[in-house]
Amino acid sequence: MSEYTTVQTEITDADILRLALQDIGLAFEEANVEACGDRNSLSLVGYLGDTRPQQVQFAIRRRNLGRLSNDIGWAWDETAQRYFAYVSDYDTHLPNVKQVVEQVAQRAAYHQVIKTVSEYGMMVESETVTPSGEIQVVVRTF
Amino acid sequence: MQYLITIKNGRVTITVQNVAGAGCAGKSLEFAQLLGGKVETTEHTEDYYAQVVATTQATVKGQ
Repeated sequence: MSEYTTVQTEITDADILRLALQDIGLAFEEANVEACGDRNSLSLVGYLGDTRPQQVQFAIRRRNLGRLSNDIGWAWDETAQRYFAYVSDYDTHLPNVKQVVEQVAQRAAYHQVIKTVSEYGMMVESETVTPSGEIQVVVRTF
Repeated sequence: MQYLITIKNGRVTITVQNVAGAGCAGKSLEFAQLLGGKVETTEHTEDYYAQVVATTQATVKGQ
């Protein structure tokens, strides 16, 4: 059994994280915070089908990641006031799992920028994605 | 004022494109703070002013 390790993120907003997860196109589950009274109420499941003690707010189930993968999850850290990701130690060596975590961070950063631009009345002039995946946004203020 | 915002590997780099000197860096920093950031390191040379911000993974450049 591979232990879960935590990966710190800079994501502080559930809406931003949800948008980022939607962008990467893999099915995910979200805890029903109102019903459970706790943000982290989804249990993660390991590759043998064993339920792990780690509980999260957002989870991508292993069936959407690969035959040998464990679930990936994002849990709210009340003390740090941000999310961290739970990734199985074994899965950190799998390119697809590493890519998912990195893509979520990339898309979350993008949505944070767009949200800030919108909130402060700035205007997006152009958006470009380079072949390497870098996003370039030109923003104008008045 | 115009900002170029580059997002790579989840890190945000903010560059102000048409304001000179430290005023520009201040504007970049202002934007980074809107993103929820704090300054990690600051670099300053004669014609180049850069501030690295650990926020929403943001790096700020003013030039």
